[in-house]
Amino acid sequence: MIKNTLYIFFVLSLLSVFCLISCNYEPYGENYLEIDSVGVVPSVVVDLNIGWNSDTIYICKDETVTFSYRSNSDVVSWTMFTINGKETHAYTPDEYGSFQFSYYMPDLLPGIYPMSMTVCTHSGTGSLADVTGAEGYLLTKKWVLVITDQYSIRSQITSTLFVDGKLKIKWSSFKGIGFKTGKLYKEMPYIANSPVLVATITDQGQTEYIDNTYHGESSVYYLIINDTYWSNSVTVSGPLPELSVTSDPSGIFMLKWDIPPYSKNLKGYRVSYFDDMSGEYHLISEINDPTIDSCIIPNPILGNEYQFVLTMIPLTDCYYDEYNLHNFLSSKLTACYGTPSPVFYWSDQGSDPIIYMLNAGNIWAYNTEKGIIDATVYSNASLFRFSVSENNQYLISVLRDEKFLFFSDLKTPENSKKIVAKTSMPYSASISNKGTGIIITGTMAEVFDFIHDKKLGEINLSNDFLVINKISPSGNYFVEQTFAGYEFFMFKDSTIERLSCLTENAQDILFADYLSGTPERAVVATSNCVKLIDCDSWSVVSQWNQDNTINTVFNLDYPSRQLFFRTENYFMLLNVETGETKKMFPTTPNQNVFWWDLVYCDKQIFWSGGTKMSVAF
Amino acid sequence: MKNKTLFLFWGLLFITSLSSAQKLHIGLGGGFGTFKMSDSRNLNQTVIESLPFGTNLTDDFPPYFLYNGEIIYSFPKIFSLGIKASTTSTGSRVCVSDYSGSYVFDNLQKVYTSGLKAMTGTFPGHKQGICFSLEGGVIWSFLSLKEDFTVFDKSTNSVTDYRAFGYYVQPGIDYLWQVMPWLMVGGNLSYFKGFPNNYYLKDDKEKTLYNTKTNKPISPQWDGVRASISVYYQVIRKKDKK
Repeated sequence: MIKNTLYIFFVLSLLSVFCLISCNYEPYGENYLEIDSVGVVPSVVVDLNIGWNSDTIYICKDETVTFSYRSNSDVVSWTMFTINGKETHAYTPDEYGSFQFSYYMPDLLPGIYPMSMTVCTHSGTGSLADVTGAEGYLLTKKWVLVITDQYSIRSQITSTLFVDGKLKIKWSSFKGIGFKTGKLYKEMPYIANSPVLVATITDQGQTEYIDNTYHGESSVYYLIINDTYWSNSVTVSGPLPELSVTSDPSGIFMLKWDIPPYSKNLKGYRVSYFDDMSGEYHLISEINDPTIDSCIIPNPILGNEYQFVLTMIPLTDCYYDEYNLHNFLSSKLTACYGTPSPVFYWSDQGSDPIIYMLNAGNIWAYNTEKGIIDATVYSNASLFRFSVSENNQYLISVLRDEKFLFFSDLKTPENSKKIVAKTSMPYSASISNKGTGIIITGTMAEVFDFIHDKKLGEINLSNDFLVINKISPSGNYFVEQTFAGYEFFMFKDSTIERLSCLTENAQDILFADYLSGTPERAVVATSNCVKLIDCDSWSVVSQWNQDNTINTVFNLDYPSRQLFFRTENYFMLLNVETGETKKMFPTTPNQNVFWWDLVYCDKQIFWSGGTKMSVAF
Repeated sequence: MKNKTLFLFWGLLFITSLSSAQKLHIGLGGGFGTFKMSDSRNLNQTVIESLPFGTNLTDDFPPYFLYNGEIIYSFPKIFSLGIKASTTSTGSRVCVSDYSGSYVFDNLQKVYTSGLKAMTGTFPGHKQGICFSLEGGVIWSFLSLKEDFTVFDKSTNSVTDYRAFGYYVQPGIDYLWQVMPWLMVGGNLSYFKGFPNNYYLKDDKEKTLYNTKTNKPISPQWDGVRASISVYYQVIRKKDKK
C-alpha cells in the first residue's frame, strides 16, 4: 500500500515538475498606434537651377550642370538622376535633407536627350514603414535635355511694341542654366556716350519690360544674361509725330500732330518755330499734357514761312539738353498761314478773276473763283517772265537765254506764235489789250506789235533795266523800272515820248501801273503817298498820303481799283479812286516778303509759297 | 574559507540529527516571486531610446509563478535539513505596432536554483508549527532576447541567448502542518537574495552582455520575496512512542 502510494506520488510529482517547468513566463502586451495611412504629401522644394517649370533644358556642352533641391523636412529617402537612360547619380540626402550634384557632360554630343529626376520621400505618416523608409512617395520629373551651343540658349528680343502709351520690349526666355540676372540696355547713338541700363531682370520667367524712358529717339535695345549671353539687338526709332497745319475761314491757324504711341512717357510738348533771320527758336506754347494734339498759332502772319518745331518733353529723364531736344525729340514742318494754292515764282493778272502763275516752266491760268487751275497756257523750260494784257486776251512770255518771245492769244490760241527778237536778247516784256507791247533788251525799250510781228518804235532807257515793265491797256503808255528809278513814256503817232515822273526823285517810286478807262490813269506809289495820274494830261488827279510808311507794293487789282501793299505792321488795301484804306492782316517789320510774293485778286491774297487767304470785310 | 566554515556547520548539524528519531519528506510546491531586475530594466530603457520610432514598455518583469521540489530530512524536535531545487521565470516586452508592421523586443529570463535548506523551529516535534528556514545554493540564469520587426510583408527576427551563474541565500519562515501521518503541507515566506555573475553569450563565455548606454554589464537580479505552498510526502517514519 505504501509502496503504491509512493509510486503514485512520484509519478505525479515527476509529471508536475515537467509540466510546471515547461510553463515559462511569456512576455505579453501590445502597443498599437492608430495612424492615418494616407499621411501628407511631403513638400519637397526642388531647387534646380534649371527650374521645375521648364520641360526643356538647354545646356551648353561645356557647362557643368548643378542640380539641387531642398526639402522642408528630412523626408527625402533618396534621389536619382537619369540622363539618356543611364543612371547618372543616386544620392541619399544629408541630415539637412538637401542635395546637390554637379554633372559635366562632355561625353554627350549636341543633341536631344531624355532626363529624369526621381525623388523618393518618406510618407510622413510616422508609421514604422515611414520611419524605416519602407513606404513613401515617388516624385518623378522628366525633362528634355538639349545640348546645344550658346547662341541657341540666349534670349532673343522678339518684338517691340507700343502698349498703352509706352514701349514694351519682349524677349524669349533664357533657355540655359544658372540664370542670375538679365540686364536690358539701350544705346542711343549721338545722345548717350555709353549704353544705358534700362532694367535688371532677376526672374528668368520675365520676358517683357516696359521702358518708361523711351521718347522716340533712335534706341538700340539688347539683353545680356549673366553678363555673358548677349541677345540680338533691336533698333526702335520714332515714330515722331506727324505735323500738319490748318487754316480755317475764320482765320484760325492751327498746328496739329499725331499723339505719339509713347505719349505716357512724355510730360508734354513745346511748340516753337525757327526764325531764319535771327537763327533762334521762338516759343509759341508749352503744353504740359501729352494727350493734347493741336495748338492754335496766335497772330499768324500771312506769307510768312513758319518752320514749326514740335519738341517732346520727356516725363522724367534725361539725356538731353535744350539743343539735343530740338535735334532728337522734335518734329519739324514748314508751313504758311492760309489755305493751299499753287506755288508760283512769278505772276500777273488782268481784270478777270484769273491769276497767271509761272511755276517750273509752266504758265498756269488759276481761276480764283473756282480755286483751280483752268489751263496751262504755255510751257517752256526756259520760261523766265511773262506779262498778261489787262483784258486777259494776250500773254507774252520771255525766255531766258533764248532769242525769242512767245505770244499767246488766250482767246484764240491758234494765233499764238513765236516772236523772234530782231536785235538783242529780250529781257522783259509787257503787252496791252491791243496786242502791242514793250520788249526790253538791255537799256533799250522797243514798242512792238506782237500780232503783226512788227516793231513800232524804240527808245533808250536812262539806266539799266531793273524789273517792272508795265504798259497801259491801250498801249499808249508804259513805264520801266531802271536802276535810276521809274521812267514813264507815252507812245503816240509812232513816236515815243518820255514823261516826267511827277515826283522829286524817280527813285522814290515804289510801284507804277495803269488803270483802264478814259482817260487812262496811272497809279504811282511812293513810301508815303499814292498818286492817281491822268495819263492824257499827265497830271495828278488824286494823291493819298499815308500815315504809315509803305514798305512794299504788291499789285494793283484792276476790277476793284485797289492797291495792295504792306506797312510795317499790316497788309493793306487802298482804293486809289476813293482813298479808302483797309487793314487786312498783321505783319512784322522783319517779315521776309518781297513784292512778287503776294498777289491780291478777287478779294483773296495769294502767296507764292502756296497759300491763300480770303479777305473778309 | 567561508565555504569550509559553512560545510562544517551543516556537517555537525547532520551528525547531531542522526541521534534522534528521523523523518524524510519529499515535497513539491509552487508560489510567487517578485524580481528586482534593475539591470534588465535599464537595458529596456536603452533599447527604447535607441529605436528611431516610438515604443512602449508593455511588460516589465512582473511577479510570476515559481516551482520547487525538496527533500527534507527532519531530525527530532527542532531541526530539519534537506535539499531544494526551484525554478521561476519572468520577462519584459518593448513593442509598438501600426498598420504597416510591428516591432517586439522580448526579454525572457529564467532561473534554476539548487541548494540546501535547513529549518528549525517548533514543528518537528508537533503536529503543526512554525520554523525558520535558510536556503543557500547556486543559481543558473538564462536570458533570451528576442527581437521581431515586421514591416508589411517583410520581417526580421533574432534570438540571442545568454547565461549566468551565481549563488543565493534565501532566509524565510515556514509553516508546516501534519495533515495525515504520511502527508504534510507547508507554506513558506522568504526573501531571495542572489549573488549572480554577469550574463554572457551562450556560446562564448568571453562575451558579456553590456548596456551600451550605461556601459555596465548586465546580470540577473532575481532578488525578491518568495511565497510558496508545498505538499510533502513522508517517506521514513520512526515512531518515538508507541
